Amino acid sequence: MWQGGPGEHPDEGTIHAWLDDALDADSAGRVATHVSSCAGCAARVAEARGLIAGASRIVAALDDAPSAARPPWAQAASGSGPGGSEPAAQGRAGPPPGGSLWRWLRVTPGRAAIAATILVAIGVTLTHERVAQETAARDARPMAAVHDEAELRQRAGQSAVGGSPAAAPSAPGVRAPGGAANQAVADSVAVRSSAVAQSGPTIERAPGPAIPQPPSAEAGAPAIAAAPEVRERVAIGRAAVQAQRETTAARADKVRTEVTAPEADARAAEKEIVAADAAARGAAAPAQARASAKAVPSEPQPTGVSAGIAAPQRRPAVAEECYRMQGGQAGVRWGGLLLPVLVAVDAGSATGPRAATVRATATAGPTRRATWTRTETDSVRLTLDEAGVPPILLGAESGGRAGTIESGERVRVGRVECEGGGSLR
Amino acid sequence: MVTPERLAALFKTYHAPLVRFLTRRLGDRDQAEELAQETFVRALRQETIASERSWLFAVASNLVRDEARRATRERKRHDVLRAQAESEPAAEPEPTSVERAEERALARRALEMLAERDRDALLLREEGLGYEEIAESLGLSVGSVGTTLSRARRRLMEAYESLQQERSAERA
Repeated sequence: MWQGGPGEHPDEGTIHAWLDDALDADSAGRVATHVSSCAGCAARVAEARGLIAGASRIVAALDDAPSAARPPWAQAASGSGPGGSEPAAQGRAGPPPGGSLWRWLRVTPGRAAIAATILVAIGVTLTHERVAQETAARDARPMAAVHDEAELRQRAGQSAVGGSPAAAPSAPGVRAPGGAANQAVADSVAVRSSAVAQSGPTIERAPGPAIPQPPSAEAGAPAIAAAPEVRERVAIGRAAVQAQRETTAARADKVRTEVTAPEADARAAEKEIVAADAAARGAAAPAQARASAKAVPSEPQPTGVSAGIAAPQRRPAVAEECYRMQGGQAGVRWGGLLLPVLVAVDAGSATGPRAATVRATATAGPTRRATWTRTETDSVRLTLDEAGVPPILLGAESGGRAGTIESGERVRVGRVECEGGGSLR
Repeated sequence: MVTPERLAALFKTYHAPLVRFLTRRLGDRDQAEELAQETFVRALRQETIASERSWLFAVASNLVRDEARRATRERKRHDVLRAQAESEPAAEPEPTSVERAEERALARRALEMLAERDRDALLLREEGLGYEEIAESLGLSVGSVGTTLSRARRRLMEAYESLQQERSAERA
């Protein structure tokens, strides 16, 4: 461990350990103090930063590995895969001459049983989670479900009483629940279950625009007149759905305006830092510049965010995630918090804003509310829900996320387990 | 004995990082999936695992070494095939993927020029392992991890730039 005596300079390994936040607090403080007063070591730190960034990008370039989506038997059937130029892939282009295909696949009954056990356990876990999420969503939106169910019953009743000419036996109608034009209605679980209950050989009608269109009061008059309580529930449900749509649209507009300009600024700041690192590296500049251009999209992409907001039900849900965020050097603060900090991101959609909690990792101190917004390009914008605190822009996940505070300091975020209230490594 | 429930939890947490680590190490996604599966098979046979992440990545690293030894006898044939592939750039299927494929090939060749321990330390760090975990996985002292990583990063950059210059000279 570097002691920082008079005239001593930290070696390269110590500098890398310092930049990786792997030194204890005392050593890190000594290195920081020394670097701030030693121009030579400051230059070595800049070079080390360039090496770390450059090496990370080279390693990330390996992730486009060949035959990513092709199972071994597909390769065996069609010869070498798209990555045939890779030596490892060529060596595995098919079973060895005289060898057993079973051995080549390397799937033994024991492994198959273990794989099945894992899959069953994961399946049970995911099913439980999915059921819990759907139950919560249904509880949170009773009016929408009532609306959808009542609407479907209304339509089914309309068809059953002969409202559609396709009900005639001679008409080659399409069964209502399976029609492609019925997709918008079929999105609801309640609608699906109702559709199964309502469907029968007599409920047939011709495909056409009549299914996705909102039913008018006139069109639905016969069925609604027969059940006034249903009409009341439908009206309440429609009002709830309309209110929700307006809220969603307003949120999308707000996020668009909030994300687009600051994110572009943060991306520009990230580019400048990468370029500075590349310049410090000297000969590495061309490679790093190309790598950074690849890693950081040249144009902000608000459309991904807005598209995700506009269709929230299409986005996959993810469970709670926890991250440890550390500074690129000692003493980095964010909103008054001394890094490293723990960021616990609530469960929610994979893309778009999610509520988060930030607290110092060293103590169980007070928490701060934040918003974690992941775009469809996998970059993340982390903001404290407080005025005057600069946001943090994080790059795509690649063994952690690297990024910068808008004010210039570099940070790195790594995934940690959420269990135990943030038992950090 | 590691229970199936615990194994499922381990699988859920570490399967993707392990596959990414092995893919970077091997350059072959299918082979990486296979070795990741073997890693979990071995985990199931363990009575207890003290440090799960370190243990899993250490086993994965060892499996890569075993695989490398097994593949050594085929290396000569691979070199011939690689030379053929490089001499036929027109065979690339999509013009838009050429640059990415070249960068990937350069990155792989540069990585292969590193010493095995340097390479493993670098890839483990890129997976987010801390210095103590890297030391535990590779049998190093914690104090030497920084030196190992700094050497690995410098040599990787130098190798990559050297290969880039070679390529540029060939095209000139």
